[in-house]
Amino acid sequence: MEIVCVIVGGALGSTTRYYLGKRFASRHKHLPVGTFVINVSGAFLLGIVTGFDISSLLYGLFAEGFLGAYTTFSTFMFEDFVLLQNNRILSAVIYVLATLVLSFLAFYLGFILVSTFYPSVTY
Amino acid sequence: MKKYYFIGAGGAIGALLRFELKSAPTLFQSADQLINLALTILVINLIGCLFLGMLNAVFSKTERISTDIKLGLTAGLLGAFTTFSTFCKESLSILDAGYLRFFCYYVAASITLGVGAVYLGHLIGHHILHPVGKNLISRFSIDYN
Repeated sequence: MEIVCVIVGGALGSTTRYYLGKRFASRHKHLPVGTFVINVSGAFLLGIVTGFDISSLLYGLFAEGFLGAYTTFSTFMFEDFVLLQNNRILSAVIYVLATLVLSFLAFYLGFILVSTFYPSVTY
Repeated sequence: MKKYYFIGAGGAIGALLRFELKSAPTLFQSADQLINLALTILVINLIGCLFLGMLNAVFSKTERISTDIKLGLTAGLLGAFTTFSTFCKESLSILDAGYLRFFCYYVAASITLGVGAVYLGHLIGHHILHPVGKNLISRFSIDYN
């Protein structure tokens, strides 16, 4: 049953990422803003999901499925590789550092928000 | 619209593969479960990076493969197979458990090896797969010209 949740979440997550990524890409042609926003927001949402003590089925759907597929590591690294290939070393370094730092902070923020306002929510 | 079905199907398979690999207990056997899980995520992400570099190099040179298939494999399958959100979560739980040094090495290794894997994949796709594929196609398929 958990597998079905992961599959459904994965299909929804990957299509959402592609749709949002394309919308951002049409506005920002020179920097991979789309993947940046997606990964930071995905980390924030996973912080929220982690804060709630949810069942393994819901965790499979939202965390392993949706957010796992919504955020992406391979495209993140590929875009950084393309920046390096085009000799945009500074952009490549800033892109990686900004994504890492803001995603870690976003995850904590999401987690802390939930544990502050709903200290003992269990489904 | 059709491409969204391909991306969705690829994403479903990618997420399932990642989930199955993550639950496989035999990959790493260190004493701490947190470290085993983090290293498994690292391996998953590196495999995805290698394949994305490879596929993008091959796909950029051929028009014989439809855009739907290309997107299904790259944006769908590999995008969903690799994950950034779980990477963040596992990195932070390592930090939370007090392994400051391992956290630093883990994050630094993920990035440098990730870009390295894309580059390696790019080289393989560019210099090995593409020439071989071209050769095979010209040998076995009907010449359209």
